[in-house]
Amino acid sequence: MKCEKCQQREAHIHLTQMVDGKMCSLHLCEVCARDAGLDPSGPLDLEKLLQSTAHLYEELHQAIPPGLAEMADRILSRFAEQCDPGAELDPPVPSIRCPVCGCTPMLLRKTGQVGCPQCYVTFPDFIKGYLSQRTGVSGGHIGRIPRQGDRVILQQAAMQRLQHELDAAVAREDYETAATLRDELQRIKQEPGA
Amino acid sequence: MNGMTWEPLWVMPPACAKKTADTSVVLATSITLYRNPAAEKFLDAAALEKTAAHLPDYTPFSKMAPQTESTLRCSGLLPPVPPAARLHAGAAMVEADTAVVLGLDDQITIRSVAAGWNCETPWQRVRAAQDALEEHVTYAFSPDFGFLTRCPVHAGIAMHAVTHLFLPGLWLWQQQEALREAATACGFAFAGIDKDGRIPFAVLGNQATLGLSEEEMLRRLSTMVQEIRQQEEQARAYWREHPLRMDDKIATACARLASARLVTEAEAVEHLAWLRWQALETPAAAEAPALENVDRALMAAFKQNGTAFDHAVESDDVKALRAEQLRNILAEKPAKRKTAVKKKKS
Repeated sequence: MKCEKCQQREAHIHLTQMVDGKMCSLHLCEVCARDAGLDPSGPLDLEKLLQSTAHLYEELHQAIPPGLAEMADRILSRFAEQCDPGAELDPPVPSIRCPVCGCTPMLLRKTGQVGCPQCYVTFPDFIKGYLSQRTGVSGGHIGRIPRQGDRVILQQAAMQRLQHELDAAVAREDYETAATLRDELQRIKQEPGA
Repeated sequence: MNGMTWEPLWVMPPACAKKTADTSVVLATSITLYRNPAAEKFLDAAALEKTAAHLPDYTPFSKMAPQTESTLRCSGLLPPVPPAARLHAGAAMVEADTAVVLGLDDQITIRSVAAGWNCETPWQRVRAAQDALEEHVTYAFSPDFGFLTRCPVHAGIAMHAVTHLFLPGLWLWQQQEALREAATACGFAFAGIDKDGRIPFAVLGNQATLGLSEEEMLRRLSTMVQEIRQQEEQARAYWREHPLRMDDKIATACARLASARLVTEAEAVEHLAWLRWQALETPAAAEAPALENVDRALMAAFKQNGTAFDHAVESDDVKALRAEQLRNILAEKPAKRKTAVKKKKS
């Protein structure tokens, strides 16, 4: 079968999906596929893959078929299995951008870094999922608290820490300590702004 | 690795110069805190300058004398500085064995190192340095994520405690993988200093920084270190009873270092590691090199090419120089031993 794009070389890459209940296929040679950013032997990039397949369909069929993302996911998972058998795909990335530094969840996934403290406020759930996936940790912070900063934030952190200590004291049946911690927690809760 | 793990910081005990510390199994302990100013972009140049103004001895790497930088790195206080960071980053010694580095992965990196197994001293020092800086800098913090860092896997307590271990007994027993698995199961990272697992030096440090307090993390690390130390001592006792393989390793290392004319850094460290074991096991033997000489030779082996093994291919001149330098250091008689012999004669 000849490549649908160059009409010259043999097609080795075949993409198939249902469009309006009809089977829609795309057959490409390795060169055209690579030109379009589809390289099964190279590093996998979902964003690039989506863009390139969308571009190809647009070019060849004059329309972006629905369900393209699902198809790309399937292709990607097949490539991922070939590269790393048993590897699971990362969960979908939300399209949010930090208003301060412009960092996105996708950028975090690629570089492992965020740009500013505001990123933690902009996409906290994604960061929690990211951490849970990479370190297996799902709990919140229970360590030291800075001496200065936003009063409400510090108060909230202090309450979280006290609650954790209270739970631990109850678990080890140290009720005397638990009572002291409970009183302390009540005192902070009654402070203005808590 | 997307900054997901701590860098395998390497330090030899002479860098700490604490002769009283027991470095037979645990060479050194280091604690690092990562902090960033609130309401600023991470690694913001203006914020960096403001922070630097509060550190009296702060020197940018672009103006730092190579000798000073080398001393900081050999002391384990300075991680390798990437070329891109050299333009804006810098460091300041705030106390003996404690340094504050600005502008690396995070705006503020505070690190302290102590010889042997000792997490209390570095913990106190980094806390003191952190508190002193906090007089001028408000740290980025959130109740859920703790201290906020550029790499979210460091957020929380934003602290890494690392121990540098010498485990020839367990290495000879080929327990590297078992140790790694045990450490991972307990939330720690364990790795040898070379990719092949031939050199019996390793680093153990905490992986998770969220969900447990600093004190709890240090307590767990302490338990883990004591367990590994015990296992290593048991292994060494076994090899004392069945010394054939131990003797073979040591004799090979001695012969190689005595006769080789070209020695790579990895070879040097590997052979010196087995000589270190000999120096620990048989300190009185005439043929055994003195422990301080072996440690000094190890430092020299590292100094010639920095701290990483993944450097460019070395020239034969460097390898030859290293071979000669190692022979000279190992042939030296230690001052202490000479005095002891003199006293006996008299």
